[in-house]
Amino acid sequence: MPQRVLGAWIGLRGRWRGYGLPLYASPLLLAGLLGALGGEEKIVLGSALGFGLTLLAARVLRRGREGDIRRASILVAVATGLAAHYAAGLGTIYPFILAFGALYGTRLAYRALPETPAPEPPPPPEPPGPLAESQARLGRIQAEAARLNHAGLRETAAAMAEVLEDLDAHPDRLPQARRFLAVHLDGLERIATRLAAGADAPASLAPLLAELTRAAGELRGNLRRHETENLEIQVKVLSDRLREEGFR
Amino acid sequence: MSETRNLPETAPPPPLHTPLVWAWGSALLFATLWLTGIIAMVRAVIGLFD
Repeated sequence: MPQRVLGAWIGLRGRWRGYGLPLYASPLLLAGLLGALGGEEKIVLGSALGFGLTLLAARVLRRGREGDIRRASILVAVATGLAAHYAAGLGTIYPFILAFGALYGTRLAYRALPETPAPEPPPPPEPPGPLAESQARLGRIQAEAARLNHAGLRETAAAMAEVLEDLDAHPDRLPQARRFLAVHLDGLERIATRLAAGADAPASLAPLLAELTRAAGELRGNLRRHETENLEIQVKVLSDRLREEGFR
Repeated sequence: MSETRNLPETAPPPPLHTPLVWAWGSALLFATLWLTGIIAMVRAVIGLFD
């Protein structure tokens, strides 16, 4: 029974924790006000620091995370020390003694109150996929092509986008397309940059873009053909195995 | 054979004299933070009449 009463009391104190702390510092409010009326700057400074830090400590206590009672007690100790030095004019040694007392007092006054563990830090963002950079570059090229209203550039960019879509769906094909991405995408990006800078398209640009578009389509075909070949090999191996095992 | 289970550790209940510890802590806070405020207030009042 006493344990249940204590548990209920702890629960109540846990819900109201921190609200009482500014009451201990409330005389500092009046001291600050009177100090301001009397033109005592040190009293105003000490009172403001003391009361402000106590409010901060109360806020930390309200949060109720693991280690917050310790943090709040340090804040109350600093508040007491500064107020004793500046506002109460107690010199150097007494403020330290009072601060130590306040530190210990806060720890005791809030002992056994539940503290929740600190939330885990958010997981680091996932590293961009191998295609993310290429997709971003192609996105910029497509935006430029749309802005310049350049049909050839748009077609080539669309063909390359299809290659990237294929690679995104089948990342295992990426090693075979890495060189294509490095050379063709790089070239297309340079062309788009020059055109965006105001360059006039030379006569050889249209055939080059057509060639790039064709190369992109060819690469897609090659990759698909490679998959078809792989499938044919698998089918042949499985057929041979079934024959060896006597199922056929 | 004894069965071992991975049960979460539960904290022991706080001792029954915990409210006395709270009272002692509150008294210490009164004797430090509150008293500091009172001394500062007295100084401020004296400063008004100086």
